[in-house]
Parts: sequence; structure tokens; C-alpha cells
Amino acid sequence: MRPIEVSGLIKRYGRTEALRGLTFSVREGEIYGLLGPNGAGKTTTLKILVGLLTPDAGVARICGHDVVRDRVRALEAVGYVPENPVCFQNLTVREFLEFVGALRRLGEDDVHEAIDRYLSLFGLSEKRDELLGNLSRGMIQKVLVSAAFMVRPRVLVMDEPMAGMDPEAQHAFKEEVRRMTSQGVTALISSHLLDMVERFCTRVGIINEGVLVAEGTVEEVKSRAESGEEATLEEVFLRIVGE
Amino acid sequence: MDARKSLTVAKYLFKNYVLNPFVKRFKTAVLAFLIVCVAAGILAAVAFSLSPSQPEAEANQTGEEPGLGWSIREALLQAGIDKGDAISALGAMFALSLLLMLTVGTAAIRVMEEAEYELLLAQPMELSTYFLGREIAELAQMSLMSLPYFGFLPIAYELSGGNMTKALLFPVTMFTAVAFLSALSTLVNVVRILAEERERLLRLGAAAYYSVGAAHSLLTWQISPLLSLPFKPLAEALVHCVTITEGVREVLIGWGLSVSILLAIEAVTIRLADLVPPEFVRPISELAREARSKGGRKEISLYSPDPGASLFRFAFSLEVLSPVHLRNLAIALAASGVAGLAMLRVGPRFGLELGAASVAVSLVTPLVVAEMAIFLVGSIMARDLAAMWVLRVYALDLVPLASGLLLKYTVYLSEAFLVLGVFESLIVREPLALLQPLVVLPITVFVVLLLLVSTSYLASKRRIVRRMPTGLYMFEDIALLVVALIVVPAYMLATFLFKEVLLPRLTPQTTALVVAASLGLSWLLHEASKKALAGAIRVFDLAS
Ligand SMILES: Nc1ncnc2c1ncn2[C@@H]1O[C@H](COP(=O)(O)OP(=O)(O)OP(=O)(O)O)[C@@H](O)[C@H]1O
Ligand SMILES: [Mg+2]
Repeated sequence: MRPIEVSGLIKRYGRTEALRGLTFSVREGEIYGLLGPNGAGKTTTLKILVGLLTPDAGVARICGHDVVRDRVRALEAVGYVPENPVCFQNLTVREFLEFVGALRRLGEDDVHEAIDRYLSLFGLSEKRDELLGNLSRGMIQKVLVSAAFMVRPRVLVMDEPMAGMDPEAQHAFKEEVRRMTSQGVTALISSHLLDMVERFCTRVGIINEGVLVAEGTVEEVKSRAESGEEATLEEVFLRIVGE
Repeated sequence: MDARKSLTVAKYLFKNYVLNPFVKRFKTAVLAFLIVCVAAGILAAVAFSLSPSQPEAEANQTGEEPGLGWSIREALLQAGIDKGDAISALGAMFALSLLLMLTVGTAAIRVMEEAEYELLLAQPMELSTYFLGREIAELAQMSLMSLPYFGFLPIAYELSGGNMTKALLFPVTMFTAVAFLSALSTLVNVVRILAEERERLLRLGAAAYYSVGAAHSLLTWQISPLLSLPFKPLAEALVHCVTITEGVREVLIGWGLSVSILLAIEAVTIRLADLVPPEFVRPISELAREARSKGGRKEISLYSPDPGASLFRFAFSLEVLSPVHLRNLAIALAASGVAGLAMLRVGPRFGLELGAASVAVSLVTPLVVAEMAIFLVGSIMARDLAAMWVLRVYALDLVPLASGLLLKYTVYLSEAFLVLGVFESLIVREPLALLQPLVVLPITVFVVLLLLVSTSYLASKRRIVRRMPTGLYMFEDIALLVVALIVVPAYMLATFLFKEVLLPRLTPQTTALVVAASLGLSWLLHEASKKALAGAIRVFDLAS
């Protein structure tokens, strides 16, 4: 059993078929990068994995639990960062994180410890009593990432988590993900930042028009695209997607 | 379902939607308002009950100094409306809102903020857990919003012939009614979602049922029990609060029944919730966007070498001259005409006094238009002020925009007058009644200015306009209430002057004179207003 398993996913929005039988899985401790052009179906996949969308066919499993049938158990293992920096406009940073902590049944002390830790990691300690609606896009992103880290997930599902973050925060983010995955957490990340993925992800999957078109370590994907070791992932990506 | 998690959800939703934006921020002002409402109501009622010259039922029958309650009652009776009618009319109104819930709009569980879907539903809980939390938060919010109903205490006290217990039950019953409708709407949406492809069937079934009800009502010239019966307990509880003969017991019976039905509705909703796919929980901003794009894009070119003209087209022509709007207007006018003709033909046969109907229309018209004006505020925020930043960045001169907005909403309100005027002029056989929109035009311009200025002010006070197109915070509701307090009497007065003073004296010459004067005045007002509005937008630093 793998922490993330997706098989034969089909999802339609009216007439658009966003996913057309997508299958892939992620092993424990991996940082898996899901790549693909705009509209490839990355967000759709991730939303299915966290129970926000119901697939028309196929199954998505988190730690062996079907996210549709066994919603609560599956989601108990997940920390999720959405694509857009949505937030409860009128909760303060602390209230929001306490809310998430309460829904995860974390102890009060643990929640406050985690809040302190992640807010100072991202340099947001002063903003703890600020309303989320008053924060900048990047700050909200940091709060959402903190919320995902805080819940002690076994699986991280993150949709372009570094969008809008400054380099310092990106660095802190990557360090923390590496630390967590070294302890057995599994991370699935969708991203556009190819050079970042190249150095950060242990495995990548390239998805186009709702199906997986290439998968493997960055090196494997490169050689599959017959572009040689010195090609950048960007060239490989353009080549595969262009096929 | 996990009740403890539901409570957590309720707690933070209440914090987010009510406590933080409203109670905390405008602590003194708004709390004071609520307290004043409650206190004033209770005090006034107590004062009434202690005053020696209290208008007792018998006192009125002997003809001595009729009280306010009595005159309202008299007026209703004269218009041919008694207790039973009031109950069935109210019941039918509730039934009508059920029909609307069943047939109008997209089936969805509406939420104010996207986070409620994207962040909350990705947390480990069943949908029933979320629904329970959401319903609790909503009940709490509605009970807070119901406090102003205490302001009606004196009237309820008067009307009920001096029954303090019944008067006190009135706000409670009002709250129950609001909660009832809100819960019903959630349940209806859940059922519509679960019906999936059969939703069409559901709508057809509802339409058929209501058609039978309507036909039955027309045949008997009475509101059919088919329509009013399902909501009878609720309507009875409300009406019995303000009648003389019924005791506290009757009110309590109706109220108790309504509460039981309300609880049953909630229970069924939560039972069914787990079957609802989470993607049907949708932010109203998204639904509004969708509804707008469905409305069909219009073929009006925005481009013009003159940026002012483009701006004016953006604000005015794009919507007012759109085929959809023109079609809707035509439909409304036709419906109003048909209703007027039907009334004219069938009304007298059933002994319906057309004069009384006309009085009712005169009373209702300003209310409807004022109501509509308030309702438009949401749309102003969503459509016209949402893209403000673009305009602030590129367009230096906001006057054409202000002018377009003023004109657009003036046209909308005048159209509403016109539609109601068609009905009225038919039943009173007075074509001149159609002139009303023109005669009250200066007031309309002024009202629109007031609305736009106050809306811009409100919009400048919220951080992100885009996020809440139709859902207003409570603070805004209350601010609008204040605007309504100006708008409604203004229109009432204007209608009264028009009907009672002007209409009987109109000759062709005076008609022309009045219309010309009114148009001229409106134009002057418009010219002054557009600068004022543009200035206001700038001063409030409105950049969405
Ligand atoms: N709510 C929706 N309604 C209709 N179509 C949708 C909706 N959401 C996504 N789609 C369509 O589904 C397809 C996949 O979209 P998705 O958001 O999953 O792509 P993505 O890979 O995340 O793209 P991006 O890189 O731009 O974030 C697209 O064609 C998109 O237009
Ligand atoms: Mg995406």
C-alpha cells in the first residue's frame, strides 16, 4: 500500500474532460512533483485527493483509504495547500490555525507550540493577531502552508505552494518539507517552477490533457525524452508536452 | 457525524461572519443600536400598558379616540382583509418562496467565502458534521439579527389589544419564521442536488402542483389551501400575535408546531448531507459570476476614441441596452398588463373592490421600488464597483462613469414604477397613472445618488469588494436600513402627492408643464449628482 494511489481517475466538468483515466502513485517519503501545462488537470487531481471533488470514475486512496467512501480516515492523514490563497477574511491568523487544530483534535498546547514554530519559521510572528483579510497574498500562502504542516500529516498535498512566497520563505519551506519527508511523510506538489522541481523533487510525473505522459526521477524523464543529461527539465517538459 | 467538530465549525464560522467583522469592529455603535431597539421596544410597550388611556377594544367601539392599532385594523378591514385572509395570504407567500427555492437558480449550498469550501471541506469530517455546524452558526447569526424585531413590540402590543405576552412572542415568532425559511432553503437545495438529472422532473412537479393551486385559487377566488396549508402553523403563529381574540395558547400552539417542523427539516437536511458531493458547496461570488455569464454577452462595442464615452458605455449601455434586459422589461410589462386586465375582468365578479386594490397598489409601489433599490446595492458592489481599480488606474475622469451609473439605476427604478404603473392604470382606468415614473423622477435621481454614495462608502470600508457580491455584512444591512428609512417615506410622500393632489387636477397643459418641470429638474439634479458622485468615489478612495 502506498500513501497516495490514484487509478483510472476520470473527471468531467460539463463537456470538458479534465481527467481521462489518470493513474499514478507516490511512495512513502517521496517528494513527488506533478507537472503539466495550464489546464492539464493538476488542480483537479489534487482536489480529488483531498475530497473536494468527486471523480466520475476511478479511485483515489490516501494511506489505503478511499477518499470518497472513507473520507474522514483518508483526510485525517492529509495536510492540504490550495491553489489560490483563499482564507477566512475575518479570522485572525491565530484563530484560523486554532480552528484547524481543533478540527484535527490536536491538544491546545501542541497547537500553540506549532503556531509559534511555523509563524516564526515564516517570519509572521508579528502578524498572529492580524485578520487574514488584511494580509498580502504571499503572507496568506505562508499561513496556509503552516496550517498544512501543523496538522502532523502523513501526506502533504500542495498545489503550487510556493506561489507568491519570497526566496527566504521558499527556502524555509523546502527545508521543512525535506525534514518531514525524511521522517516518512509523503509530499505531492504541483508546480510550474521547473528548475525548482528539478532540484527539489525526488520523482516527477508529467501530466497533459488529463493523462500521465511521463514519470520517473528527473534523470529518467530526461532520458526518456532523449534529450541528454545536460538538457534542462524545461526543455524536456516542452518536448514531452509538445508530442 | 461528529457533534463536537460541528460545534467547532459553528464557533469559528460565527466568529468569522459575525463576531469579528461586526460585533468586534463596530462594537459600540452596533451593539448600542441593538440594545436601543430592544430597550425602546420594551419600554414603549411597558409605557403603553401603564398609560391609563390605553385603547381598549371596547373604548374604540364607543367611538372614543381610536388608537393606532385600531386604525390599522380598520384600514385592513376596509380593504376587505380579515384575519383568515391574512393567514392564508402569509401562508401563500411562504409557499411562493418555496416555489422560488425549488425552481430558481443553481442547486448549490451557498457559502459566503470560498474558504468554507476549499479549506474547511478538506478537513477530516463528514458533510453532515459540516452541515450541523453551519446550521448552528446560521441560527446564532439569525437570532442576533432578530433583535431589531423587538422594535415592533409597541405595534404588536397595540394590535393585540394590549397583550404583553403575545407582544413579546412576536419577535420570537419572527425569528422562527426567518430560521424556518432559511432551513427550508437549505433542505430544498440538498434535495435538488440529490435529484441530479431528475431535478428537471422535480421542478416540473413543483410547477404543476403550484399551477393546480393557483387555478384552484382563481376558481374559488380564495387562496387555495393547497398553497397555504403547508405553512399554516407558521402563518397562524405570526398573525395570532397581533390579533385580539386569540390567546397566548393559540400563538404557542402555532409556534410550537413551527418549531417542531423546523427541527424536523434540520434533521432531514443533516441526514441527507452525507450524500451531497462537496463540490456543491459553492461561494456565492462564483455563482453570481456564473449566472452573469449565462445571461448572454451583449453585442455592444465598448471601444471609442473618447475614454469618457467608453466609460459611460461600460457603466450604462452595456447592461441597460442589452437584449436580456430589454427582454426582461418587456416580459414584466406584459405580465403586469395581463394581471391588470385579469383583475379588471374577474375582480368585480367576485365582489372585489377595485378602489381598495388601487389603494393597496399605491401603498405597495413605493415599498417595492425602495426594496428594489436596497437590493440593487449588492449588485452595485459586485458589478460596478468591483473593477474600480482598473478605472482608477487608467481613467482620470470619473464623471462619465458616475453619470452612467446614475442613469442606469435611475432607469431601473423608473422601470419598476412603470411596470407597477401599468397594472394600476388598468385597474383604475386612468392612463395618466403611467406618468408616475416621470413625475417622481427627481426623487429617483436623488435616491440613486444616495444609494450610490452610501454604497461607495460601504465598499471603501471593506477590504475586498470582490469576495462578497451579494452577501452583505450585518453592519451594511443596518446602514441600508437607515437609507431605507429615507427612501421609503420619500417615495410614499411623492406617490401620495401625485395621486391625491396632482392627478385629479391634471389638464393637458398642466400635464405637459409638470412633466417638463420634472424632466428639467431631474436633468439638473443629474448634472449636479454626477460630479458629486465622482467626487465621493475619489474622496472615499475607492479602489476595490
Ligand atoms: N470548475 C470548473 N468548471 C469547468 N471546467 C473546469 C473547472 N475547473 C477546471 N476546469 C477545466 O478542467 C481542466 C483542468 O483544469 P485544472 O485546474 O485541473 O488544470 P491545472 O493543471 O491545475 O492548470 P493550472 O496550471 O493553470 O493551474 C481545464 O481544461 C479547465 O478549464
Ligand atoms: Mg492548477
